[in-house]
This record gives sequence, C-alpha cells and structure tokens, in this order.
Amino acid sequence: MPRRTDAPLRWSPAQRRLHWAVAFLILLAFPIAWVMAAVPFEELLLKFLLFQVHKTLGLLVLIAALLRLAIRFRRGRPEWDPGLPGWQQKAAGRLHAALYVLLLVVPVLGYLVACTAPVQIPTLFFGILPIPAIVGESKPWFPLLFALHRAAAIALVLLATGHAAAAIHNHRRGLPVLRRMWSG
Amino acid sequence: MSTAWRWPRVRPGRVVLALALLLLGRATAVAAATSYDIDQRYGSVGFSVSELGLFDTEGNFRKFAGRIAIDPADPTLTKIDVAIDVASVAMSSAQAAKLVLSPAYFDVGEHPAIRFRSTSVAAIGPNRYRVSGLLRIRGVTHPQQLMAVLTAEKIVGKDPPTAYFTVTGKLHRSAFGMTANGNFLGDVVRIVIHIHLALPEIAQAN
Repeated sequence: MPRRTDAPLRWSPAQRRLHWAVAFLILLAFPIAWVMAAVPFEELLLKFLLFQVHKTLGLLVLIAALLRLAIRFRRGRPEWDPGLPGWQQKAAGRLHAALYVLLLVVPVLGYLVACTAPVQIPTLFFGILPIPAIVGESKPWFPLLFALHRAAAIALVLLATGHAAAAIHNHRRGLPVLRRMWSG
Repeated sequence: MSTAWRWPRVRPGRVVLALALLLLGRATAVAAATSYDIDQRYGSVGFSVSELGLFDTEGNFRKFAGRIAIDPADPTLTKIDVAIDVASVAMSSAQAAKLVLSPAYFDVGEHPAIRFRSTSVAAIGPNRYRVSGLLRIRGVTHPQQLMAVLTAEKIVGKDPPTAYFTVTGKLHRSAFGMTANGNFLGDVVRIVIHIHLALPEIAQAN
C-alpha cells in the first residue's frame, strides 16, 4: 500500500534513545524525590547530595525533552500503526502531547522551587556547574510552587505509567508499536 | 530635626572628654564608667558557617541581654557581660533551627544560655578595639577574641550621640564539642554582632 504522507518510516535512533533516556531519568528522579525529603535533617551531607542528584536529573530531563521536541518538529513521527483504532490513535496523541507538556513544566517548576526555597542551597549541575537562581527566596511562592511541582510530577508519572501500560498491551496484541520505539 | 552622620576620626571617649573640658573649663578628668543595659533592641547577634566550602548558612539569636560598662576616659577599661538566649535562635528554616538546638549542637535542653564575659579591651587602631574574654557554650568555656569597630556615630538633634559598633570574631565549633556533620559543615563559625549605644551625656557643672 503506498504511503499517504511524507512521515518517516520509523523512529530515528535519536528519537528512540532520547525516549528511553527520559523514561530512565524519571524512574530515578521520582523515587529520589521522596527519599531526599524523608532523609532526616541530621544527615546533612546525604540530604544535600540527594537533592543535587534529583536536580541534575531534572535538568537532564528538561534538556532531553527540548531536544525531543526539536527533533519531533523537524522530522515528525512515523504514521500511527493501522492496527490501532482511530479513537485510540487520537487519545494516544493527546496523551503524548500532555506528556511533552509535563516533561517541560515539571523541571521548570522544580527549578523555581529551588529558587524560592527558604533554605537557599545552590543548584550544582553534576555537582560542578552552578545554575543561577532567576528569582530569590519567596515565602508566599515557595509552598505554592512546591505543591504544583509535586502534583505535576505525580501526574507525569501516572500518565507515563498509563502510556507504558498501553504500549505493553498493544505489544501483546501483536502490534509493532513497542518494537518500533525499542529497535526501530 | 537634623540628622548628621559623622564618620569619626577620633574615639568617642576622647570627643566627649574634649567637649566636657571645653564646656566646664576645667582640666579635670571626667568621672567613672557608664553602664549600659543592652538587649536585642540595641543590636543583633549573628553567626554563619560554611557548607562544603561552597555556601554559607546563617543564623542569629533573637534574644540576648547584658551589660556594657564604658569609661569614656579610657575605653580599654570597658567591661562586657552578655547572656544569649539559645532557644531564641532563628535560621533559614524551622528544621535547621531544630537541628541547631539539638544535643549534638547547642543542646538547649542542658545549656539554655551562651555567656560572654570580657577580660580585657585593647585599642589597636583608630576606632578599633580587640575585646578578649571568655565564651561559654554548651558548658564549655574558652577564651574568645572579638574585633570591635566603631563604624559610625549618629547625632540626631539634641539627643546624645549614638555609636554603632560592628563586632566580629571566629570560633571553632569543635572546641565546644560540636563535631556533628563535619563532612558537610565547616568547623569555623563566624560571629557578626551589631550594637548601638547612646554615648554618655556630657556632665553638667555642679
């Protein structure tokens, strides 16, 4: 059957690698967030290091998400698998869009949380590169931004889990969607 | 009411003495020391410590009380005795304040006050004084030196002049038994104290 659009045949290696890299980064950053908050204040060094790791992972997610969006705009995506009914294709498209938005919003909110925190700890990317704070400590904004960051992160993880579950479900039905993202 | 800021070139004691002699027309020394009761209304007591050598964490004590006796004729006879209310410590977060009050740090339960008593004061330059004394933290007493600098004198209308002092010093927290989190917090604690005093009124003749 001739192809109706000029969509690429498959996901490029860059698209695939960035996809799994982001998944991996989130799988690390999310649990670290809960651990770093739970570590008692007496363990100052451990707490500090966990926060730095979490912030570095978050910044990496932001960078990767921006790269993915750039590639997506330039190259587009392969056509939807014809085995998926139209309504599922639409729903998946919307879910992916929501995920892209959250991939940007969550790290940006996290950065703002660090900026407005009452305990001003510098953000060191990979423990080396200081990331300047664009705003300073803010008593009214900090709790709000923190609540938003946490809620958005939980939403991101829930949507990503649904996204993964759908992919596995379709894979088990024999559709190539997961294989396309794994190996092209 | 006019407000004039003078950057002092001479010690306040000498200024007061000179004016007193001019007004009284006598070559007698001005009498004894004036005692000031000071507390948090007259300044602040703060400290800071380095974290990983990268950034500082600051705190201050909201309540303290003490007495400073100054002899205008001889500032080196100054005597200072201050008690700081440890429980009044304020830090950037409640968690930090709680940590700093815990037994590993100030141990407020056992030692609710920090005491400083001066033993001597030496003039080491125009408007600079080295204050030596004994500092007691956490039940441990060590000699402590502080540098007091007269930073400004303020005259408002007919009120007596007010002298502003910045007092700084450093101590090693491990010397007082505070060795926790040595892998994160520096051992050196910087002290920054600001105090302002209204200088003694010029004595009236008979």
